[in-house]
Amino acid sequence: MALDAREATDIIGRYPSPRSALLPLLWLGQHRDGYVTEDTVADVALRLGMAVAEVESVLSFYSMFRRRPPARCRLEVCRSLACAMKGSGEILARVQEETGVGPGESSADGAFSVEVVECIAACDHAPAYLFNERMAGPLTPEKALELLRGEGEGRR
Amino acid sequence: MIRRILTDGIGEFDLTRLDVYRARGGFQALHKALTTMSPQDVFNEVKTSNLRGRGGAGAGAAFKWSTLPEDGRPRYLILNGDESEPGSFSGRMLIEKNPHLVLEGALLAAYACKMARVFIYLRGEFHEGAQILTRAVAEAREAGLVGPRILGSEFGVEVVVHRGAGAYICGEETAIMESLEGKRGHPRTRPPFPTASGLYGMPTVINNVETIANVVGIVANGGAWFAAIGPEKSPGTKICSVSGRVRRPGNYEIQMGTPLRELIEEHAGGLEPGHQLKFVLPAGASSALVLPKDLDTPLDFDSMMSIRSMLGSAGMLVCDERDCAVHVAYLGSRFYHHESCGKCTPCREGTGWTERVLHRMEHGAGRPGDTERLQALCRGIGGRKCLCLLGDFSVTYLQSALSAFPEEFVAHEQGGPCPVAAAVEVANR
Ligand SMILES: Cc1cc2nc3c(=O)[nH]c(=O)nc-3n(C[C@H](O)[C@H](O)[C@H](O)COP(=O)(O)O)c2cc1C
Ligand code: SF4
Repeated sequence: MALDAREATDIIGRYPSPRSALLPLLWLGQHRDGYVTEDTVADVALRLGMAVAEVESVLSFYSMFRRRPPARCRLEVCRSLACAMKGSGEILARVQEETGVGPGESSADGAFSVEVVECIAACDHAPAYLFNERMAGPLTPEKALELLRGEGEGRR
Repeated sequence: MIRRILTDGIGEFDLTRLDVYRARGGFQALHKALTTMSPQDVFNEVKTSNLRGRGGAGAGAAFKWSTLPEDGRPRYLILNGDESEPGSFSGRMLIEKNPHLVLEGALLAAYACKMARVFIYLRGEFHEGAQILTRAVAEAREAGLVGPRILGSEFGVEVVVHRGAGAYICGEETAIMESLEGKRGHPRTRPPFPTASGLYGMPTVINNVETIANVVGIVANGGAWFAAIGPEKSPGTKICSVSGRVRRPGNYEIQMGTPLRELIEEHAGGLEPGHQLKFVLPAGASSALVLPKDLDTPLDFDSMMSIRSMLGSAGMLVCDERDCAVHVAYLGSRFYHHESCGKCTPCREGTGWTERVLHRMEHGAGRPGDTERLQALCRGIGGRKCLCLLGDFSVTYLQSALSAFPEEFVAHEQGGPCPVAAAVEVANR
């Protein structure tokens, strides 16, 4: 599906040079579809007069853009200094032990995924995490399992 | 003692609302500037204030602005809200809790530098911050504070909130411009410097959000007022982010020159009960560690330099006796390896090698000579060989840890369990 033409035009119009709208347009697509689809890439390339490969090249530089449909519950745990010192590694290990899902993996039914991320500027809440993009903390093993399980059950 | 300038009212009032911000005197500085001051007057106040950049290096704000060429080309202002240094989280508070202050500062800076466009670059993870700031800009626009003919004057400025998408390097001043141009965030060679040729090749000023937020008070109260707060060469306040082994992690706005000890022991409540301070990383993962003996150092740019560390963005990570110097080094190396943009060989290869050596040391598989290998890596990567400072950042803490705690590194060379962890276990028995 192509991006909403009005919204896309509005975003492009904010910048002196259309290409500056690249990241915002990719965000627009990811917000709508949960990830950056082939259609979004093609549409963005067309609107900005870029080659598809060029869009892909920029897109792959930025770790927050997803190229596959996300799980319904996404837990991203910070592994940087303050959070690691406060046990984020142990939490991830515990989650893996109980669910079989390690960092960078999704559950078999696609209900949830676990990721590690670098510092998210929430060190005062270490171990900090993002749950479906919302920043929070401190995370405990129980809380992590509850977040993942709770939504998983809710889906059934 | 003047302490809270930037965070005044946070926690008591909902400053994200324009009416609340205005009721507390907000946008009066802008009104004053547009009705009674020329752009040069605003510039002069900032110059008098001696305001130094809060994004890391402490560059004089007015000095940076003064290097803009007078050639009639469009000029741009970029507010750096990338804030990805591990340990720094003060910008996020300003953006989420006091967005109109950031915006008013940006409008004043744009007025002083004769700019018609401002980009506020926020790291991608600041979903909430981006929403709050976007709403604040929209609200201000409706009130005639953003857009053409602000407050009925001749001055107009457009403000765009722009989100990154996960890349520490995009906080670097030239990478941020590449990113804003819709490219991969690779730093550019300098010269030319951004004020000569920046965004779209035009003169561009890049300032940290906290630097810019300070401009409001300076215009409202005068540069001399600001210059009189704290040390002569580092005036003003600084929001310090304290995290790690303290009882009350959080953001604390302190007057520059406040001793590090006061920040940790009073503001942040001291170390967690029963534990002793081992060292502090005062400017996040990129800074040389500070030992307890230097705890009385005043927190300002020059004093922190004099103990061979830095104030930087004041992301203070506090470590106690449970924290092995090697472990902290390993965590840092993992971060820099992950975040190197890959353009320069010493940084691209060196951060990977450093991580590999520290990984095996950390996981009980250290080899004889690893400490010396790390020292060689520090020499090989550091010393400004790279396009940007990320390479140097990646070895700054490591180098300081190697010289402060050599025995911990040597112990990890033997391939056994961590001696620090073992000592903690004994103590807990
Ligand atoms: C790798 C790297 C990352 C940086 N990240 C940030 C950042 O997140 N925020 C910031 O304000 N400055 C950051 N800086 C410093 C900027 O390059 C620039 O000096 C600063 O934004 C200038 O603002 P100031 O003069 O107001 O301090 C970074 C520098 C480097 C080398
Ligand atoms: S020092 Fe590292 S991050 Fe900076 S430009 Fe070189 S490779 Fe990229």
